[in-house]
Amino acid sequence: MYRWLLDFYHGYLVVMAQGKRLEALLNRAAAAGIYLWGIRRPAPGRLLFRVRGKDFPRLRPAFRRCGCRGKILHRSGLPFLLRRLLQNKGRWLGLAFFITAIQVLASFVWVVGVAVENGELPGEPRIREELREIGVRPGVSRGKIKKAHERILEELTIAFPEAAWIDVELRGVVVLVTMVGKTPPPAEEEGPGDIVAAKEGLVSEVIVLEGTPLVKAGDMVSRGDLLILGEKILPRREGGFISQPVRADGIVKARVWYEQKIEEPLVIWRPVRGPRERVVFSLRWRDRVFPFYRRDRISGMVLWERHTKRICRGRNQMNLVELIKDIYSEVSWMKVRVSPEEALAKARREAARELSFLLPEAAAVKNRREEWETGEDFLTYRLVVETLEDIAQLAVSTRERQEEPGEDRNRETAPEAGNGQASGI
Amino acid sequence: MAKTAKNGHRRRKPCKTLLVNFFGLPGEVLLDLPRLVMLGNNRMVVENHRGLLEYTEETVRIKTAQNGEIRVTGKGLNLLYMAREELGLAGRFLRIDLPGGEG
Repeated sequence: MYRWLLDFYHGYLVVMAQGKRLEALLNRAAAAGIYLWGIRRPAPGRLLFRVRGKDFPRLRPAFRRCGCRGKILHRSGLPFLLRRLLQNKGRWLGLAFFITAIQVLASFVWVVGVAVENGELPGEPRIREELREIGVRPGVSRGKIKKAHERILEELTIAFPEAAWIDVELRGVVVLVTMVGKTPPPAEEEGPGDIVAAKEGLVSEVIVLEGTPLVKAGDMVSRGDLLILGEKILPRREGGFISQPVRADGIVKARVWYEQKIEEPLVIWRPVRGPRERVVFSLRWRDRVFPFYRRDRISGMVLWERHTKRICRGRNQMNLVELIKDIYSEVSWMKVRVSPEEALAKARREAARELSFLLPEAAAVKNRREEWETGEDFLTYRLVVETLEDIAQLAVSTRERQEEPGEDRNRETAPEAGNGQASGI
Repeated sequence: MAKTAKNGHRRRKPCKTLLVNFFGLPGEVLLDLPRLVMLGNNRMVVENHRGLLEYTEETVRIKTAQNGEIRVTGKGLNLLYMAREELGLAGRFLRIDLPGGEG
């Protein structure tokens, strides 16, 4: 193999010699230090052999002295191949033309893809037409699309206000336009309604925009209590009042208390690492993991740690290949007593975390009180947070549904029947 | 048994041969002896040759030092390569004669 490679690198000739003293020719060549190989006698008086290209001129005196004639049948090897390639200009021109053509063709956009997702958007033909008008069409140079990327996005956003998200991506010779339509929020229920309390609290302020207030500052309300009635009392010209159902609206600010109680153990079981440890290196390729070895397993309780390292960052942009180091440590459980300070800090963190789920974003924390008690095995922690927030919540009036269809929604109230307060509750 | 020359006198071994035998030195280096390496009956390497005397598909005669000769008879004999001091031979060897020569 090595010999063949060397011969190919230097280049060799297949020579046919004719004459009577062919053995003498071989002897003279050998004496001159010329290496010959593949020596065959195809016929009497004829000899075929191979010789390196650069040695052939040195063979000529030997041919002459032995009265033999030599003829080169074939030239082989890298020098001759290169010479042939360099001589053939048409081939090189063709190659240059091919590469240039590929380069030129790859600098244009040939396909425009449109993907419409979700929502109510105009059809694909309309989007394609708009894209054509903007200048995104097959045959446009890629550089032009790259430069005008921002402008294309802006114009598409203006042309399709119903789209929530638009993306124009250039993938080789393909421009992919992705549009996601807006999903409108569910329509609000219309019609008369009351304002009720969303939470239990102490009312501190009532601002009525529509309807009749039923509570005042200082009142204690429970969840579901009616705060603003969805009815308007209007005086009649003839005397008396008319009760007109309306959609109640307003702000009812109240002080609301949130309480969180946490019991934190003072005695816990904690894992302690043993002396035995096993490290396994694996290679992940896509979804498959190839461990390097799997001997010496650790039985019983095991603590497992995994460290990953991305390899070949430059060529591995999508994180296809990853080196994984798994450490399996022997673990024994130990009963540990936690200090009250540590347990308190943990309980505080836990209470704050749980309370963060309950507190509305708009609530203003006015007061915060905490207390704890240390027992034999547990620490009991209690956190009370006082906030000022709007507890008004719209509830569809049930009275409306009870009325018969076609019935007059305005009800008359006799002047002597009440003193202006709603009587339809 | 010591060799006897034509005139009846005992022929003495050359000094070089004695030296080689005594010290166990390589004969092919000091005495110019040919060295033959055979692989089965179809391949042969001859070192320290002095050229070819005859080369056909049936017979190859190789000249060695001190007027020696190696005659290889066989079928489809083929010279693999030939360099100044070494040549390779392939084919089906039927007979190898070593007539003449000394050492």
